Amino acid sequence: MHGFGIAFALLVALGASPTGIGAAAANSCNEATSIITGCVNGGSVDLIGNETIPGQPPGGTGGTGGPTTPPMLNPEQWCFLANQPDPSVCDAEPDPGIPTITLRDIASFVPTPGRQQMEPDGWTVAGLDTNFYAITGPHVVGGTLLGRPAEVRFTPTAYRWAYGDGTSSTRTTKGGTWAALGVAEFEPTPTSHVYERLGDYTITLSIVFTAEYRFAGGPWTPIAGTITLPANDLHLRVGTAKTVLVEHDCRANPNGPGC
Amino acid sequence: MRRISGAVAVLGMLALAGCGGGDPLPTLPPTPSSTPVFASEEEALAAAEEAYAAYLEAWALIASEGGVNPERIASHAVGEFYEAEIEGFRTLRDNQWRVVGASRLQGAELQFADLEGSQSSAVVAAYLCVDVSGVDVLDTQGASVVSPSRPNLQAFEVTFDLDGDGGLVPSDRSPWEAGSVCTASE
Repeated sequence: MHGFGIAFALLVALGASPTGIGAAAANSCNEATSIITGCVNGGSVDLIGNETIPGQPPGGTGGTGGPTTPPMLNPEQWCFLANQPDPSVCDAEPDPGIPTITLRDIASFVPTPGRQQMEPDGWTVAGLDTNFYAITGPHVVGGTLLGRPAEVRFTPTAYRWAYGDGTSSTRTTKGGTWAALGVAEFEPTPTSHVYERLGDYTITLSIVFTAEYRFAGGPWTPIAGTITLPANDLHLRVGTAKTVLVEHDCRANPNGPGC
Repeated sequence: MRRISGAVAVLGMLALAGCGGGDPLPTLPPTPSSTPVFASEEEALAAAEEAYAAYLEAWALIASEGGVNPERIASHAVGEFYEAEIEGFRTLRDNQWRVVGASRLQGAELQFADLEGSQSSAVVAAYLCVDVSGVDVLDTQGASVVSPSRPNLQAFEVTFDLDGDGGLVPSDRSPWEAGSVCTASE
């Protein structure tokens, strides 16, 4: 109870000096915080700054007038001090009654597989960039976890393309159409690939998802590890391009000069 | 020469597909492919571990000096990660706290690696387990300000950018579940 009283006094001081202490961005936890309080998964708080704390904590040895020594605080107190606007962020401490949730536990929650598309569609030109892109995004799947209604949120984080020509790459972006990216046709995109040789190729894509779970609208808790799901295959013919003068549209007159 | 209109390409394909034989069409000169940054995922993870260990070492040095000249961390942390660390050093400085000991990288698991390094940012991400048990933070009286409930093993999801020399530098860090990455390496 005494600790609570101190925390309240600190909070009052905060009102007079709003810059001294503050809630950090949800995912920021610097090394100093890590060492002093520990970085709590799902949210963290910044350290006390240079505000003067009225009254001394029990057993405190700091002098007056100079920089103050905050009392030893547990994470709950730090959260309280940081005046987290969203208390659930600070309540994200693992519930001792809930064992650590693993990917095995959420096996009944199935993420929606992503899809891939390409530009041009089904053919391309050797030596030019062919644009592959994935269609997927974060999504929530409902179900039952440990006998309780729960939700699992899957977030795509990496895209592994195998281009069928012996090369592959892992991208951190799902890419987009040339038009969406504001890129001219056959220009490079973050997810494009150049085929050097003529032939027919099959392109496979695996999408890596991270997973988080929550009960009853509570805070999201990450689950360690990732889930990799295949997307659809694409089939591609690589040809060459040559500029020629023709008399008419070659489709209308295939035997015309130049066709 | 790489810019070519879709219409011309279609025409080329039609010429290739349908019409009148003749000499094989010449291919365009091959585009120089980017040199892979890492030969394997193992190499990428090793580079990430090296970069993070170097960051911890630099952090410990600056922190042991009370957080003065915090910009020295710039060669070991970039982006939002750098900003957060500067703020942390300011806290040490303002409170005249002194850090003794150093955090130790205890385990690492690769999340993903862009082996080609097609972009310079977020080329590698890894789950890292850091042991902070050997670190203490002392006030001017020499009393510890460390919370008694501080976990000694803490896990992070760390994203790395390419630095100028083909190595990695951490650019973003989020707390992560201390589950597998910390237990697997014990």
